[in-house]
Amino acid sequence: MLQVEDLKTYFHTRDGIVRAVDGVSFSLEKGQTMGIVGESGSGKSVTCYSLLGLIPMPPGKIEGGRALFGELDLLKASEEELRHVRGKKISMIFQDPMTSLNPYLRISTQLIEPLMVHEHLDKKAALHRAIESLEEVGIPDASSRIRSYPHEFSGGMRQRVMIAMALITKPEILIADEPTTALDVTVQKEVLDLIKERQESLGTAVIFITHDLAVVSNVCDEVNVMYAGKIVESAPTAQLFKHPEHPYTKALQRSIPAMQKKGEPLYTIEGLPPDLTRPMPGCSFAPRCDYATEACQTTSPVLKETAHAEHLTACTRRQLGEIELES
Amino acid sequence: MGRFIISRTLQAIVVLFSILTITFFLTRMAPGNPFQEDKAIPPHILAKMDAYWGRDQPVMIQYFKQMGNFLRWDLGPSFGNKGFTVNEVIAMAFPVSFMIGCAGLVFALVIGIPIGVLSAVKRNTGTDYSLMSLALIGICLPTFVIGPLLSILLGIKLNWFPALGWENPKVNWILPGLTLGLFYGAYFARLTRAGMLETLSQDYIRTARSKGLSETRVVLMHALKGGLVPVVGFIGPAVAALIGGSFVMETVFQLPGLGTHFIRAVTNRDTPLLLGSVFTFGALILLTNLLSDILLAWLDPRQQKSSSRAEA
Amino acid sequence: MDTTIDHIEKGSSLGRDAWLRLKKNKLAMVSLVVFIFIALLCFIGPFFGVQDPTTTHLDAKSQPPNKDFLLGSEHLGRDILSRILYGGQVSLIVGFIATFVSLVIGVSYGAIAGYVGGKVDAVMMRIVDVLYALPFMLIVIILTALFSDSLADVEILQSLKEKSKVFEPDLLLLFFAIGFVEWLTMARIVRSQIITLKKQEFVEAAVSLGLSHPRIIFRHLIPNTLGSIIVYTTLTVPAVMRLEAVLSFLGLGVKPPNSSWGSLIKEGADRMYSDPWLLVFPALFFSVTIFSLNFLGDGLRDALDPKTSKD
Repeated sequence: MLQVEDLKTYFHTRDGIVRAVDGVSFSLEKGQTMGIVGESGSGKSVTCYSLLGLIPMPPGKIEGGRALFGELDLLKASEEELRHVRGKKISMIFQDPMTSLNPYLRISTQLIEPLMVHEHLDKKAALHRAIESLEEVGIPDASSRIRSYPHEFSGGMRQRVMIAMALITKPEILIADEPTTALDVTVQKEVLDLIKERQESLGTAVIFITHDLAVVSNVCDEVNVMYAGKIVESAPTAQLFKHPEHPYTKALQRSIPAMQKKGEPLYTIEGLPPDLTRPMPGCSFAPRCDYATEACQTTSPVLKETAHAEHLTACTRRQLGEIELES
Repeated sequence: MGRFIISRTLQAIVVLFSILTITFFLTRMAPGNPFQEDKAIPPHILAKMDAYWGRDQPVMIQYFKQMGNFLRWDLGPSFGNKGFTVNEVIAMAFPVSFMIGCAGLVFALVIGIPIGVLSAVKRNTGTDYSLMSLALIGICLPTFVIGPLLSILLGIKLNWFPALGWENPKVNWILPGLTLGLFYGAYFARLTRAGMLETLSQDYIRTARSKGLSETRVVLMHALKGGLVPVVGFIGPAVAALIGGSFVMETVFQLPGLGTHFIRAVTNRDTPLLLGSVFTFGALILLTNLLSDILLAWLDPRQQKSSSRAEA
Repeated sequence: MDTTIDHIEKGSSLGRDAWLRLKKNKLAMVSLVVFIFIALLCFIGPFFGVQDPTTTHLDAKSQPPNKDFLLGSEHLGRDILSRILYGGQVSLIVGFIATFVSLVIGVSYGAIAGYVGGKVDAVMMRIVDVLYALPFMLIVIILTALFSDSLADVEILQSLKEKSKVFEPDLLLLFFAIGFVEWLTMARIVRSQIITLKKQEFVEAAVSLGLSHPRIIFRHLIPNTLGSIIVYTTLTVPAVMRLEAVLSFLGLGVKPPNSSWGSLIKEGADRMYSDPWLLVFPALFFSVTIFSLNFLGDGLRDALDPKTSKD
C-alpha cells in the first residue's frame, strides 16, 4: 500500500548538510503495524514527516527517492495533493500531547476540522461524529467534555483526544510518533492498547515510531531499526527479537532493563551517535560497535537479505558470517 | 472573571485618584498664578481674584473641594477659558482627540497585524526583509516628522485630504489618524511578527498541518490567536502613547483637541481644567488597560483559568 | 580571597567575544560609525568655521541651501547647519544624561528587588506594574511645564549656563523628568537577571566569605548583568531622545533661544510649506541618529544576549 524507496532528506544548516534520512526503503501492507526504532536523531521521525511534507523547508530538503502511496508519489506530490492525503488517508499522532493540541481552541473545534475539511460535513453532523469518536477512545461524558479546552484534560486524556482526531476520518495509515514517550508509565499501556484496539476495528495500518524496543515487541508485526539516517536491520518482530542480525539491534535489546538479569549492571551503548554533517566512509555504527574491524570503518555496508528471506541486515561481518549474534 | 474585572476596576480607581492628588499638589507647589499675565497686576487685585476663585483658602480645603467636584462630575469654571466650564471645554475638545486616537489605533491594527502576519509566514524571504525594514523606518521616523510630510504630500500636493484644521470633522481625522496609525502600525507589525513566529514554531501547528488543513487555515485559525497575544498586551501602553501622539497631531494639524487645552492648562496653572483633562486621559488609559486584560483572557483560555484562580 | 572572586567574574573574554560578533554585523557597525560621525559633527564641528547659531542675517532670510548657508537659513537669517549642530548637542546630552538617570534608578531598584526577593520583591514589582499603567506623557508634561521657571534662579545652574553655550537650567528638569519615567523596563530586566544569578555558586561563595550585601550586589551581581544593561541602555537613548523631541515639539522641553532637534523640527514644521529645508534637515539628522542607535542596540543584543549567543 505504501512503498518507500531510497528516501533522502537533508537539512541544509549553517554547520553543514545534515543527512537526517539517507536512503531509507520500506513497504507497508494494509492493516499492518510497522515499527521504526532508533535513538533520537536517528532520522525515524524525519522519515515520516518527509512522507507527509511536514519537513520545514528550508532548511529541510527531500533530495531523492520515491514514496508510492497507491498511484501517488508523496515526495513529488503538489501541496494541494498532499493536503488531501494528510488527515484523510494518512494521519499522525505526536509525542507530546501537552503541546500538540492547540491551547487556544476548544477540543470540539479541533476534532471537527478534519471532517469539515475532508468530508465537507456540516458543523452539526461533524460534531455528532466527534462526540462518537471521543466515546470510542474512552473519554467519559464526551458530549459535555468536548466543549473543554485542552488544558482542562490530563496528558493521557489529551493523547486519547489526539488519537480520536487522527482516526476520525478512518485513515488508511496512522503514523504514531512516540505516542507514549511523554506519558506516565501507568497511562502508556492504556494508550498502546487503545491504539491497537482502534487499529483492529478500523483496519488501519500503523507506522509506530519509537526508541523503545519493548513497545515494539508489544504492538508491531514488522520492525525497521534505524541508525544515523539509515535502516540497519529489518525483520518480523519475533524474528528480530530471537535472532538479531545487527550488533546495534543486539545492543538495543541488551539495554532494555526488563530483559536483563536482576543484579547485573544496566547495559548502555558506549559513545554517541555520529555527527550527521560529516559523511563517514564505512559503517556509521562502527565507532561504537564491539565487533567492528578496520574494514568496517572503510567499506559502506548494504542492507541485504540473510538466510531468512524477510530478515535484512546492514552488517557486513554478519553477512559474511564472520560473527554470531545470539540474544 | 467577574471578580477579576471588579478588582482591576477598584485598582484603576485608586490609581486615578492618586494621579489627581499628585497633580493637584504639584500645581500648588509650583510657582506661578493663573491670573498672572505679562503686565503686572496690582497685588490687591490678584488677592481679590484669588479669593473669588477660592484660592485663598487652606490648601487641604481646596483639595477636598476639588475632589468633591469630581464626585459630582462638576468641575466648575475654567480659569483659562473665560465663560466656559471645564465640563464644556472637555465636551468640546475631547471628541476631537478621541477620534484621531481611535483612528490611529484602528489604522495601526489594520496596517500592523496583516504586515506582521505576512512577514512571519514568509519569514527570511525578501518580502519579510523589506516589510520589516519598512516597519523599522516607521518606528524611527517620529510622528512629528511623518505628520508634516503627509500633510504636504497628501494634503497640499495631491490634495486628497484636508491638510490642516477641523472645519470638516468627517474627513479631517484622516491624516492625523493615518500618521499615528503608520507609526504605531510599525510597532504592531514587529510585535505581530514576533508573536506569530513563536506560535508557528509550536507543536500544535505541526498537528494542524498533519490534519491536511490549508496553510491559510493553519495561519488564521490555529496560529493567529496565539500570535496576537503580545499585540493585545501592548494595546494598553499603546493607547497611553497614542494620547501623547495625539498632542503632537493637534500641534501639527492645528486641531482643537483636548491635548492643546491640557498643555495650555499646565502652563497657565488652570488647575480645574488641568485636573479635568488629567482625569479624562487617565480614565481612558486605565479603561483600555482593563479592556486589553479582558481581551487577553478571552484570547487565551489558560489565562482565564489562572486569573480567576488568582483572584479567588 | 575576595580579590580572587572579583578577578574571576570579570572575565574579559565575554566582552571580546561580543565585540567580535558585533564586528561581523555590518548594519550595526555602519550604525556605530554613523552615530559617532554625527556626535563628533555636533560636538567638534562648531569649532571649524561654522556660523554662529544665534547671529541673525537680516540680508539673507529664508535662504534655501547655498554656499554660505550649507543647509539654508531660517526666517531670521540664522544658519540652519549650525543650529542643527548646537541643537544636536542638546538632544544628545539630554538623551545620554536622562538615560543615565533612568539607568541608575532602574538598575538599583531592580537589583535590590531581585536580591532581597520575597515580599519586598513582590511589593516593589507591584509598584512597577502600577507605574506602567500611568499616563507618563501627562506626568512629564506636568513636571516640565510647572517647574520650568523655578530652576532659573538656582545660582550653580546660572553659572553653568554662562560657561556653556547650550546649557539652560531647565535642561536639568528634563534630565530628571524623563529619567524618572524611563527606568521601569530596566528595573524589570535587571531584577529577572539577578534572580537567576543569585542561585549560582559564586554568589554563595561570596556570601560564605561574609561579604556585605551591597558589595555582593554592586561588585558581583550587577557586573554580570552588564550585557543586558548595555543592550537596553542603547535602546533607551533613542527612546529618551524621542521623548525630549516630542516635549520640545510641544514647546515644553527645550525653549528658545536654546534649541534641540525637536524644537528645530517644530520650527520647520511651522514653515514647511514655504521653506521645506527647515523641516527636512533637522528631521534627517534626528531620524538618522535614532535609526543608528536602534540598529546598534539590535546588533548589541544579538552580540551580547546569552540566549542567542549560546545557539
